[in-house]
This record gives sequence, C-alpha cells and structure tokens, in this order.
Amino acid sequence: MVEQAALARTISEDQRVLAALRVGDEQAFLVLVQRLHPSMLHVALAFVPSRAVAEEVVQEAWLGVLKGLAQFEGRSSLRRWIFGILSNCARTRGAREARSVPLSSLGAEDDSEPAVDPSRFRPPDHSHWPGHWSSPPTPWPEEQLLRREAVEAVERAVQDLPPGQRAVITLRDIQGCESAEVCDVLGISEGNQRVLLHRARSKVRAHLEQRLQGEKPR
Amino acid sequence: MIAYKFLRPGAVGPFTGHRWSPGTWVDAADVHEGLGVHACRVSDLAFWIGEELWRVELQGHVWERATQIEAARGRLLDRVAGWDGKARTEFGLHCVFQARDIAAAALRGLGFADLADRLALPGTLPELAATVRSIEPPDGFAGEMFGYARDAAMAFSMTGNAAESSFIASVANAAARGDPSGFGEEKRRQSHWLAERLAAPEA
Amino acid sequence: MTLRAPEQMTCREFVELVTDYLEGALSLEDRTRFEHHLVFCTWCVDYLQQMRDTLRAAGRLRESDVPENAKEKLLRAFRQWKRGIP
Repeated sequence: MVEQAALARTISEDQRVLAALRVGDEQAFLVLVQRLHPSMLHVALAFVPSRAVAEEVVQEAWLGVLKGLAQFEGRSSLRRWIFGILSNCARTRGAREARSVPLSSLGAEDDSEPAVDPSRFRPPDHSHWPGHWSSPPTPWPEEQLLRREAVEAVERAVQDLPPGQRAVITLRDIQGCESAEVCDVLGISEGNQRVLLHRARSKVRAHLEQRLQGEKPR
Repeated sequence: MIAYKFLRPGAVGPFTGHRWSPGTWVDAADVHEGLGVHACRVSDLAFWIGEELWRVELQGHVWERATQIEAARGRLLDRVAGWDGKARTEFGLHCVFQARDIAAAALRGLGFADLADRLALPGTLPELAATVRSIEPPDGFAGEMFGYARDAAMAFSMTGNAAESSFIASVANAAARGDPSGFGEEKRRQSHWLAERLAAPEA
Repeated sequence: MTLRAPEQMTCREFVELVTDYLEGALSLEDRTRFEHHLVFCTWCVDYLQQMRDTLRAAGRLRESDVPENAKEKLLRAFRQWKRGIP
C-alpha cells in the first residue's frame, strides 16, 4: 500500500518536473541537477578512469536528456530514464578509454573483505564463544544521526569507496533506486550488486561509527 | 489452529515491525518460503522469547518447520497474561540454574567433585554470581563446562536477558551431551517448563 | 560454541549476512538462523539497527552540492536548448 502511494507520488512529481522543463523553467532544471548530478558522477566513475572524463560524460548525458525531453513518454521514471542515458554515455566512453577492469569485478577487488574488523570478535579458538562480539557495537542516538557531522561523515565515506561499491550505494541508498534498476544501469547481476552493496554499507557504517564514537573502538 | 506468538510491546512484530491488531485477520502477501504468518508451537516457545506473548489463530494450510509454524492467514486472539516481566525473569533464572546444574553434573562426572559441590550450593543469583567469580576455572573440558555456569550467572546478573540465559543453557547441554542435538533438546525442555508455568493459575 | 552447536549463527557470520537479510535474499533456513540470533543477541540487534541508520543517513545525501562551474555549463546548455523550444 505504501509502495503504491510512493509510486503515485513519484509519477505526479515527474509529470510536474517534465512540464516545467518543457517550458524552459530554469529553476526546475537546477533543482533536478542538484538532486542527480553528484550521483551521476559516482555512477560515471564506475565506467571511466578519471574524474575529468566522468564530468565530461555527465555533461554529455545532460545534453542527451535535454535532446530527448520532448519525446520522453514517461513509461519509466524520470530518474531511471536519466540514469539510463548516463549509463549509455559512460559505457561508450569507458569502452573508448579502454578501462581495463570490468565493472562486474569492481568491489570484488579484495575477495576477503570482512564487514567488521575481525579483532572485534572472539577468535575461532576461544573456549566458549568463538565468533561472538568481544568489542560490541553500541546504539547510536537518533539526534546524533541527524546532525550535519553525521551526514558529512557518510558523504566522505562514500567518496572513499572503490568505484563499483560507490556506484551501487549511490543508486540504492542515496537515490533510492530499486535493485533491478541498479543492475540495469550498471550492467551487473543481482548477486554482484548485493556483494557491492554489502561492502559499501559495511564500510560506511564503520566510518560513521568512528565519527560518532570519537575513536576507533578497541 | 491455535498457536503462540511473541511480539514486541504494542503487539509489534519483532522482525517485520508489523503492527498487529488483536482480532484482525492478516493475510500473508506471499506464502512462499517463509513470508507467511509465523507462530510457535508449545515446543518452540524458548526459541523466540519476547516481551509479549499472544495466543494466535491460524487458518489455511500450516507449514511445519523446525522451530516454528507458518500459515497463510492468522490473527491475534488474546494476550497470555501470565507472561510479564516477572515471568521473564523467572524463566531467565530457571535457565541460569539449569546451566549451573548441567555444569555441576558434568564436573562431577569428570572427577571434580569439590568444584561440583561448590557450584551446586548457591540458591540465589547473587550467591551463584559470587561463587563463580571466586572459582579459578580448571583446564580443558571441565573449564569449558564451568564457564557455561559462570557466563550464564554473570550475564544474567548484568543484563537480565532471559533469552541469553536460555541460549547459554542450551549450548551447555549440547556440550555436556557431546552432541549438537543437545541444544534443541534443552530448548524444548525449557519450552515445556514455560508452558507449564504459564498454564498454572495465579499463585 | 561453533563446535557444540554448529548450526547456531555467530555474530561474525551475522554481520556478513545483514545486507542479504535486508534484501530478503537469505534462504529460509539462514533467515531463521539469523532471527534466532536476534532473539538473544542484543549486540547484533544494535548492529542491524546501525546498518539501517547508515542507509537512512545515506538517503539524506540526495541533495548535494554541485560545483559552480558544472552548474554554469549546464545552465548554458539549458538556455541554448530553450531557444529551440517552439
């Protein structure tokens, strides 16, 4: 029920934005850019080797969006359509730049990448509770999470992620895309997407924990 | 079919966060691979210890799984009034002393008669906690068995987490039996202890 | 414990399965093991909540700063495109 309501809201919001863009409303365009541009950069960086090239790709994608605005029928969401255009531009440019590492393996760079520092658990030879917390997490107060510092910590953590992990968490958690949409945009499998998402979220959580608790626990 | 369900305060599902409304039927979105309405048989109770215990009615096909049952449709009937904070504490204490008894029996069997006697003596939690703190654990398997009694007593003293004592006692039983099936055996025993106590009239 | 009751999930395994759990991607068996663990392990309950807090915090990044020069370039492109609107 909630999903239906959210979908209806998205559709009507999209229609409003489209109508505004089509009559040349600059403010509407800037708001859209503000919402999507940084995420588009993160996604582009999953395909192309440098920030400079990524910025070119994103500019190119926006031009493509403008060119296609009149014909866009709204069969998919505006966001999905825009990321689709970006994905095409990024892939084409990525192929030209001969990116050596295929996206599907990005984020699987290090096969053993534990979600939490293993030293925070009792070792496998512990007499009673091997694998249980020895340095457990403590709950985060809600009001701390709403502070600017928390948002900045998350932003920094996302910037520091390897490209594949960064692209997935950007689309899933920052933009709120469904997993099917993300797999489509990035050209990866469901399973692959989950691994990248897991690693990304684990790293960001660890970073946030460090920030909120002042120091690295234990 | 009548079964049981543990919920968070306010009749909230512990994993889904679903807010149950007593008497209102809930239809599962997709009764496939675990998305149905979950409930406990009596023997399952100790696996799912929560703050509120409800009697539930299930309709339609019921899937029997290892530690829970699942149905296409269910509704809350009424709260099991006997299950409150006091009962939860009693259950937790019962499990602590069960871990103690299992440990003491094991130690006796291993030839640590004095240690077993010392461990078997305390009748209250504070006494048991003081006793386990004062004992130097032996080496090897005897130390492991002693450790379950110690950990159960210390943890419950600190946090009062009944579900945790239940877990520790169950692991202790598996250790004492030398067989992983000892875990489920102890859980089911706890479940039946619980059911009997809840069926008992107000003392 | 791993030796004594091997089917019981450890906290270390738990933190590796959190994403799969939230995605609904765990097998019924693993999901049950995961939930069994949540019943008694308040630390893992806190960890799961931290993961939920993390992804919610990421959602607040949606409105982010765009560098001025990028914005200007895009505005220029938009104005150019505008001129072509009938």
